[in-house]
Amino acid sequence: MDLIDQIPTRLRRPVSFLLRTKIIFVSVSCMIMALTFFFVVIFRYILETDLFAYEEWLMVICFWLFFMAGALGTYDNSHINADLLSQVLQNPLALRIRAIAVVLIELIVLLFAVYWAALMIIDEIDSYPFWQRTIALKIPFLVARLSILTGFIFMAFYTGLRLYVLIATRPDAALPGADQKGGGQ
Amino acid sequence: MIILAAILVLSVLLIIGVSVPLAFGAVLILISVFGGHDVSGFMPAGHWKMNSIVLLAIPLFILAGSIMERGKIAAPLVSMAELFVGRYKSGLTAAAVFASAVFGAISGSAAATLTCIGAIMMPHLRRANYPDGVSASVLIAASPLGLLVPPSAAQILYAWVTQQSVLKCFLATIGPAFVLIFFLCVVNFFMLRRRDDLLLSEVPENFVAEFGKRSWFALPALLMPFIILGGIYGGIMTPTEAAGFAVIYALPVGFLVYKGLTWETFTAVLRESAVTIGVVMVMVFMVLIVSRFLIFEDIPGMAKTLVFSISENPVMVLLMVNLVMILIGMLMDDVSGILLSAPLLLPVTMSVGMDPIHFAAVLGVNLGMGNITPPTAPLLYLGCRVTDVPVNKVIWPTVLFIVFAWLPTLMITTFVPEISLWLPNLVFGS
Repeated sequence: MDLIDQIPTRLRRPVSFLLRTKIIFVSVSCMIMALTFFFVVIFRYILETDLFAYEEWLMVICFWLFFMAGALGTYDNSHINADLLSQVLQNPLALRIRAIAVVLIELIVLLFAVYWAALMIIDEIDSYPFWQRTIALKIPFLVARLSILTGFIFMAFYTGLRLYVLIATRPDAALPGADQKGGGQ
Repeated sequence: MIILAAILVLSVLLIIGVSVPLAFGAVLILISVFGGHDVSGFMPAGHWKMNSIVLLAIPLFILAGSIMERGKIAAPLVSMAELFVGRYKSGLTAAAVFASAVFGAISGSAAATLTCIGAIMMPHLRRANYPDGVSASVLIAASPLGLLVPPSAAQILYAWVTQQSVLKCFLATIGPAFVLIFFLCVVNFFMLRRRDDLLLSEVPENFVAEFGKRSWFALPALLMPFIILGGIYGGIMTPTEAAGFAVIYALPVGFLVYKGLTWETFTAVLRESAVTIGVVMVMVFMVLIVSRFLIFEDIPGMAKTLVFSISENPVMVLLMVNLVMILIGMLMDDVSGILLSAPLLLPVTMSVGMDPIHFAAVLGVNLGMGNITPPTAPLLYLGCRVTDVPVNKVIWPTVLFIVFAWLPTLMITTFVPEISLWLPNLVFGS
């Protein structure tokens, strides 16, 4: 069952809207990334010119792509893991405790990551007007770095939702088959 | 002390099932609490390290691999391989090995190779009475050829981390890939030699005409490695640009030539590959931060001292390095494995006279083997899902492939440097 079907009804619409927005953004960004490099080659050999400072704006888009897609990966529970224990354990209670412990640890780590990313953003804002910018287009580093903070906030949010579902609403979510981890390579 | 604690925390978290990036995040918490490092430097360090155009080759190869997978670009390659070896006993499984190698040259990804070739070959193998366990294990054992046959996203990453030439790293893994193909075919032949119920493909009456027909159909797919590798080695494109070019080239081939892509499957491909890209790149981000602090703490130096305190014999040192890399490969995927082991182990191997380009090949073989070695073995479990064969049927033949094909390849790659270095030396001079 999808995570969105198990969360409280009042949260479903905003969560669904956020997911759709992210899916559209990451899909378009993937194509922008590929098309940019295609046109870099075309510009170089056919038009005999350079795509000026493309790496500066492209890296900003890519950072947002990586972290929004990473958040989608957290929602899908598709981050890469080894997960040896769930293949050894047979007891449903032990499996449930393991699943809750794993999601709780992940949530704690993500909250630390949010804190570290917030510190980075505060440092960036504090250094205005002498903040770091790209060389040619003068894009503030803040634009790309905000993606890191936003991405970790979303990852923590989705992990929190999963923990809520595991503890409060769906005891069998820890059983084999309900856990969709793995892959992602 | 803190390093031992970090290794312990990392191992325990990975074993209980915490995802790889967050297990590394936990190591960062440990470093910040007990190591006295300034936490405000963690995220900027990750941003600085990852703000590199070269790294974009990884998401682009992921995207290209997914488009080719859904675009049915692998089908004509399988058909070509079948034409040559399908008539021999165990020939169909050998065709799967060859098709995996050729598809590896297109996609640069082991998972894409396994999904694509596995889905196409498995029904053929079942129809020809090949045993499920052996068939699935051949497909699994051959899939890391996607990491060894260039272009390989893993080799681009290694070259970027260790500041080596990408082109030399690409060439270094070709020799080991051929050795592995040979051993896989031999082991496969021995495993199936007593089966008398295998249905063999019929030789077409006019072989040349059939070859011409299948070649013509496979031409758009076969052109892809020529465009990618020709572009890179001809100095026309960087590996990142070639990866972008591969994505755009795969679109008309998938939509119009092989007709595997429709608007619906294309949007699904974009969503799925974007999630994979996010998963991999967030992991790269976290591993880069941790590896920066490991280097700051001089862990490569400590690892070197530790290894030499056990033995100074170069053979023993290289065996120990291999063992560590196999263990890393068993717990992590190829990307995080390279990011972690390349900076840590390269100084050790260089101190016993190993060339960094030679080490690229050794690392590639090690991580490929780790990815199919139980108990973790991400490719093994993926292969079971793709082929719909239970894990217990696949484990034993896969172990045989590891022991009699992968291990000999690893030993030959490690102790016969010429296997990896002759091609880079031939092209670039020694």
